[in-house]
Amino acid sequence: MSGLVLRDVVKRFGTHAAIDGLSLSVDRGEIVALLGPSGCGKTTTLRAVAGFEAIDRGAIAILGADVARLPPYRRDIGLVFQDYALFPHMSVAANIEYGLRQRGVARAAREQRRKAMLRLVRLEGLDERTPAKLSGGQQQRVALARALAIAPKLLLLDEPLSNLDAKLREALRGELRAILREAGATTLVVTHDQTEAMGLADRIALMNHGRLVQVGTARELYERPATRFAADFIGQSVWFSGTLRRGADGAEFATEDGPVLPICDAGATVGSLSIRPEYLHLPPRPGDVGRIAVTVTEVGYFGAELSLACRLASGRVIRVPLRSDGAAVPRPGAQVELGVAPERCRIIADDPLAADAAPTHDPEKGESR
Amino acid sequence: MTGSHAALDRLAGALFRVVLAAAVLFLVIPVVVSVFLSFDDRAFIGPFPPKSFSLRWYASFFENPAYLDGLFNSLKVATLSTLISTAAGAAAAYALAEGRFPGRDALETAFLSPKFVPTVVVGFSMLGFASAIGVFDAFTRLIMGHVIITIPFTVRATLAALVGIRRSMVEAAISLGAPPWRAFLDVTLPLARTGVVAGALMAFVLSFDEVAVSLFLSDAFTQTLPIALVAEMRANLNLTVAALSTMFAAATILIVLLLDRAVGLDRVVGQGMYRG
Repeated sequence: MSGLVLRDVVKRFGTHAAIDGLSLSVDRGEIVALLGPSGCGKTTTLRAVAGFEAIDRGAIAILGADVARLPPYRRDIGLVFQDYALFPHMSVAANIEYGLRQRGVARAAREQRRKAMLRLVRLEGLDERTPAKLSGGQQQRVALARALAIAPKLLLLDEPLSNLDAKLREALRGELRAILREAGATTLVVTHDQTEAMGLADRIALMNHGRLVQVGTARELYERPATRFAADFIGQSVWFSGTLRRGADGAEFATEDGPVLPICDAGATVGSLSIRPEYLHLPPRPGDVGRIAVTVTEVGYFGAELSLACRLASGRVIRVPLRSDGAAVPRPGAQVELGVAPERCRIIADDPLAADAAPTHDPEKGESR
Repeated sequence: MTGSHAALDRLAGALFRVVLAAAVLFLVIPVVVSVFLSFDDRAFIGPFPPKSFSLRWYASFFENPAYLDGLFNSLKVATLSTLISTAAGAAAAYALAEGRFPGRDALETAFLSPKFVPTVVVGFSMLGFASAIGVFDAFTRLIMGHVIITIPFTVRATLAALVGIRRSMVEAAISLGAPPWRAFLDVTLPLARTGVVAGALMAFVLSFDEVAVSLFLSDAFTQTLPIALVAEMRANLNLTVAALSTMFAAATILIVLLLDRAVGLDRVVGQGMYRG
């Protein structure tokens, strides 16, 4: 039995379909991240699951039971809001016990559950504080404890780390992951931040224009992106347009920029060639059969990494990261050859929707990789 | 360079303090003077300070039936119109804060408009309206007029408090199992309470203090205290007014202190408390 099943869900605002036929299944105890740019429908999906938006079509089932007609207060869902939404006029204890109180749980049991929750989120002894006296990270954990206190059938997290500053976010991501593991709740995390999605979730459901683009583990999405949008939204790509040619000794891709690169990916027949920048090697390594002749135009130094701006024969400039490992660094103007292994060259189908080709990256979107 | 800057800063600081002190003195001195005068023993308004003191003006206030009637009327009108204005204003503010309906902005403007219309106009229009609908009872007219002039304040104060309550807080309560009415009682109402109380307080003081509207709507038999006061001052000017203002100031201070005890004054005045 699945923890959460969405089947062919449609939600329209006027003529605009915010959710456009979305189907997704989350296993019991699994953490799935709904990832996508702002306006892709992920928040609407979360609100539809919680019951705050009525869906126009489709089905939503939690632990096998259809909840689409249930009001939000009957769904037994724990919801952690982006702004935490703690009750400012109640103590931490009253906040955490609120859901239990609604369920008529006796006082002794409430207190026991509250203590257990505060232990889970590592905030023992803060029972009588008011939310205003807590740090952002503490507030978030109280919100989490409050949502988990009712032993929800499903836990929903809305951009859980976006309200924290960058340093704290890093530290809390691991902690949040550990708490979620320990709680064992089926969890849907909504986020626009790929690092957050990769760091928290077992699987990522990538969304755009109200539809799922690809569902898989972080590694699957990074290494085998299904569409150009997926390849661009998660990580970075150096793109080549061109034509695929098949010969007796394998396939190759003739780029419009000049280089002809051998590939071993025989799946897609039409599309663009994507190479993750870190697979472009200088100097070429053994196995890097593909070669790209470039002129180095600029060398940027960033400590652990160098960034080379390289001009192709066609005049187009690509950026190539290079590990600072003490090796000689080319000077601007140097003519060099970049190497790439055939299995790192992926043909990616162009997106069915033209608009998908230009993903709207959120300004606060974390740096990739 | 820096030296002259520092000197300039000091000068500006000193100037600021002087202006501040002047403003405070300007506000406080008349009150102090009137307190002194209210205890003046002389039968006429003589030069300051008084030579001897007595409670004669206080006695005169309580012996004058016109004043006592006025006080009683004012308390009745202020209490009743505050109750109506607070209930209606809070309900209207809730609708405005929650609602996404056509004409919402127009409605908000309508509720706040009495604030910008001269009270003389409100008073005269209300008089015409009352007689048009057949209301000739001065007390009812006064209530109607006072509700109109106080409602912008109760709407505003409640609205300001409601705006501080994020939608997500109410939704959090609902997601935790509270039906909407329960979420309203547990979250919206307690958080809006200070705004409602502040609005009611303003409405009461405003109604108690109102002259222009009451001038149109009262009659010879139903006069509010300010109206009685104006009439008496016209007839014979004496220091009963000073006695009254002293009592009024004392009552205000008392109310403010009580309010501070009850809900915390910073909560009534400030509205940033929910954004923590």
